[in-house]
Formats: sequence, structure tokens, C-alpha cells
Amino acid sequence: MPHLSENLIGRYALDPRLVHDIEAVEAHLRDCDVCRRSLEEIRQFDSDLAGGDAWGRTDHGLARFAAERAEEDAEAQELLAEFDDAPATTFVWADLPSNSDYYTGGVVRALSKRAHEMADRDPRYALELADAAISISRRLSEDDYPATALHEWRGEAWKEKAAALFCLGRFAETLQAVDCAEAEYNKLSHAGVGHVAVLYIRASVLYEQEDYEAAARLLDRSAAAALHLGEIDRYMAALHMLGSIHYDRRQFNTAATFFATILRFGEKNNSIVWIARERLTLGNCFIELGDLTVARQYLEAALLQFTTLRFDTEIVRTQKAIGRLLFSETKHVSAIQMLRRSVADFTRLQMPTDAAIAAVQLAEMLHATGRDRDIPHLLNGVVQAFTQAGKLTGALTALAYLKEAAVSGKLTNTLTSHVGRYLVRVDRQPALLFAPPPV
Amino acid sequence: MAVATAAVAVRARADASDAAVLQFEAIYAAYAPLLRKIAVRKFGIPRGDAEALVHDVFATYLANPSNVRNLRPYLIGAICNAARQHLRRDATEKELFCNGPVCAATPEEELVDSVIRSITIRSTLAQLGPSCQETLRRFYLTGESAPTIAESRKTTANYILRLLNYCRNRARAIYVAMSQGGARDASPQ
Repeated sequence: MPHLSENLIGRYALDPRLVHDIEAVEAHLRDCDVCRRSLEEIRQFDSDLAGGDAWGRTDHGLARFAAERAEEDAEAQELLAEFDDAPATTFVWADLPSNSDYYTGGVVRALSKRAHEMADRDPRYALELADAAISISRRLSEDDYPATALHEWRGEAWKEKAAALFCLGRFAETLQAVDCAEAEYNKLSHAGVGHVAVLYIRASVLYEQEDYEAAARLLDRSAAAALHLGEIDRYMAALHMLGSIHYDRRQFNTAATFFATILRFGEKNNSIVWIARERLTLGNCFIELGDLTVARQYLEAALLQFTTLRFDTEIVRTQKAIGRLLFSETKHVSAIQMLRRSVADFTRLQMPTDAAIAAVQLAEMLHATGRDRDIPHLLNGVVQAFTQAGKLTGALTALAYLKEAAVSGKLTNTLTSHVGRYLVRVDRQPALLFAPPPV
Repeated sequence: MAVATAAVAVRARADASDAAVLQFEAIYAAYAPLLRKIAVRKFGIPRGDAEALVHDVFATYLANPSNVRNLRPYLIGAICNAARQHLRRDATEKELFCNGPVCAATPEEELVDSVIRSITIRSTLAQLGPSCQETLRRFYLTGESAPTIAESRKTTANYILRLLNYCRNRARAIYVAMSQGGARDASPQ
């Protein structure tokens, strides 16, 4: 039986009236599998043609928005160029929210981005930038921008405010800002990166307040949500904090499992920063676990990588860890020399809190080796660095208390640990008062 | 001098705008069909609502593209979250995120094949001449009848039907050749 031509089947699929002998064609199609399959394929093709996807329709409204956004970004860059290298005061005096020239989505995005970059370095400036972004974003209208974009930008600005407040240790206000960010993000049609960030900031506050269980719950959610959106860096950041929680709880094996997971991720993605960072944390874990050979391998590799990256602060942090390692290896003289060098380097890098924490660890070593008389001089130097940096917080009281304990021969490891932990916390919460450990 | 600087700035903005449109169109063409299919097939969202969700996902992305590091999983995760939020409005869904070891939106092979098919057909249509493209688009996509198209072209419905059959056969030939990796041989000279 000869098959029907594809042309004939095509005409029949289009409109049966286009073929001369419909009955003969239909009879043939009933009996012939090959021709029937051809008809099915043609009908499937027709169905594909009727679907919009085959025609590559572009959403013109979105394309226009993409164009306008790019143009606004370029314009905002020009408008804000004068503040690029200017001090924070210049920005504050300019009072952008009072000038309608700056009322654009591009300016809001640029200010939020700049706030994000400044949060760690200069949180006060970051706060000013975020406040300006919030203020301007409120003035933008749905007549000019899609509602989705406005909620996203307002959420972002509030989120950056929360991050700046967090770095300033103003935790109650951080949570208020996070609430505002979340309220904006909740107006979007779906949960996104903003929600992940909000969970992470809340967890960070809880972590600093040592509410580890609540922090861990939020971090689990943040990590899962980040992974779901393919935001691997945010996922790793959440895992890192989970590892830090276990480390602080002295659950070093569990902490090492988290840090090793992140290290593997870093190795897989050739992310030298994650690799170096996790090698340092793993080195610290293995010092605590007493596996000094493994600790040394991690720390030496981390030092090499941070040196390649020229991450000065991380180099000094790694040197400090190596100093602790040397002490555990009973190489006391080298350990003390290394810690002294770390204190000096942190001071040179204008990092008084890190210098003080290193000094406290050094004091512990000096005490353990019967050199208590060196401790007051050491702590005086750190107090001086704090005073010069204008950090007139409870840290000074804590250091003075430690010094007095050394002078009076009442220094204990419990006290040095207590002061060390307090120094970490007071750096984030300047208003935190020092209380001696319970006797 | 100032005028020249301003002109350069205007040009730079226009260039940025053009580049952004091209980039967006490429992203939209590559992912919109997949997101639509995920919403409709995986979550049972009606086609019209799915279109709105896809629009929102892209609008949110465009509002802050620098926030997104990894586009494909972001868009798939976002349409999943959007579909769940849509269903939550009907009180059938409670979770904000698609939590769980495997996201419900993760496209399986069949769905990916169907998206690849759409994209291949789109490339096929781009290789047809303008007359064929226009006729097929009006008949299949817009849903105009052969007599309506014939009237606007001052010809007969029968001619349009024959033209449609010819153009569709041509498209199918190109599609088959492309699917089998022989696109070059089948493309018009």
C-alpha cells in the first residue's frame, strides 16, 4: 500500500476540505500506522506553532523597564560621582533627599549598593546612605515605576540600613529595620534573595546575643532558601555561621564538619577566599581538638593563600592561630613571640579589638609560663590603642580588670576566656557593660 | 567642552539602555518558556495566571539584577516560590519557600525536552522568509482565519491555505533537519 504524501497529510491536517477524496484519505489513515504517525507529528507541530513560546514573544513592558533601569543606573553614577571619594560628611551635608534631582530608582539602587559596600568599613556612613535611599525610595511613585520594583528597592534600602545598624551594634533598631525590609519584600509576588538576607541578618543578631538555638533555626531556613535560589555564597555564609555557633559552643567536631563542607565547596568552585577562610577556621578547630598536625597543615596553607591574596587582617589572624598552635606544641617562646607580633600588627592595622583579643590570649600564655609581671605592660599598650581609636567602651574596664588580676596574682584561664568573649561582644555592642565572671 | 562631555554621557546612557534590552531579550527568550511550563505543568497554575507570575519573576529580577549570581537556579527557584505563593492565596499552600531536598520546580527531562522543542521551533521560524513567518504567525498564534488573512492580502482563502501548508512543510523540514543536527543543509539559500 503506497503511503500518502506528506503534502497531502499536511493539507488534511490544516483543513480536510483541502483534499479531494476525504473518505479515501481517512480510510487510509485508519489502516496505515506510518501515515497516521505522520499526521500526529504534523498536528503536534501545529499545536507548537499555536503556542506563544515558539514565537519568542518578548514582554515589551519588561524590555522597556530594563532599558530605563540601565539608563537610570548610568545617570545615577554621574549624579553621585562627586561623592565617590568624598568623606561621609560631604554626603550628609548634600542632603540628597531634599533635592528632587535625585528622585530616581537609579539613585536608590546606587545608594543601597554603596551602603552595602560601606557597612563593614564605615557603618555610620553606610547608615546615612541607607537612610537617604529609604527616604528617596518613599518619594518614588507607582505612576513612574512598577510596584514590584518599588517594593524591591525599598526592601533593599531597609535591609542595608539593618546591616549598617547591625555593624554598629544597635540590635533593637536592626530588628526594626529588618521588619520594615521584610514588610516590603512580603509585598512581592514571591520570596526571593531579599527574604534570604532578612533571615540571615535576624540570625546574626541572635548569634551576637548568644541565642544560638534561635539563630541556628533561622540559619537553617536561610541556607535552604538560598540554596533553592542558587545563591551559593549566601548558602555558604549561613553554613559558616552555623559552624561558628558550634565552635562557640565548643562542639568542635560538628563545627569542623560545617567548615569542611564549605572548604569542599570552595575547592570545587576554585574560590580561593572560601578555601583560605575555611582552612583558618578548620585550623582553629583542630587546635581545640588537639590534632595539631592537621591544624598545622590547614593554618600553613591558609597563611600562604591569605598572603597571595594580600588580605592583611586575615594574615595576622592566621599568624595568631599559628601562635596558639605553637603554644599547644609547647614551643612557648615562639608562641609568645608570634602573639606579640600579632598584637603589634593588629594595632598597626588599627584593629584595636583584634589586638586586645590577641593580647588577652597572650596574657593567658604569659600566665601559664609564669611571666605574670609582663602582663600589665602588655595590657597598657592595648588600652592605649583603644583610647587612641576613641573606643571608650566597657572593653577598657575589662582590660583594666584583667590587668589588676595579673598584678594581684588572681589571673585565671576562666577570667581570660571571659574577658576575651566580652571583647568580641562589646565590639558589636558598644553599650554592653562589663561584668566580672561569677566567682 | 561641556557640550561634548554631555553628549558623551547621553551616548553612554543610550548604549547602556540598548545593551540592557538585548541582554534582557536573550534572557527572556531563553527562560520564559521554561518558567511558564513549570508554573503550568508542575504547579497546575492556569496559563493566564502563569503568564502573570512569569512577568513578576522577571520584573523582580530586573529591579535588582546585581543581586542574582546564578540566573538559572534563581529563576527556577523564584517561579517555584511565586507558584507556591499563588497557591497559598487559595489556602492550599503554606510554605514561603520551596524547602525540601528537591525543589518541586526542578524541571525533569520531559519538560526540558519540551522547552528545547519550543526553542528549536523558534529558531526554525526565524529561518523562514517574512511572508511565510507572517502568514503562519497570523493563522496559528493570532488565530486569524484563512479568509481574514486572504482579505487583508487581497487574495483567496484557498491560496492562503495552500501557502500555509507550504510554509508549515518548509518549517517542518527545517525543524527536522535542525533536530537531527543538519540545520545548515536545510536552511534557505
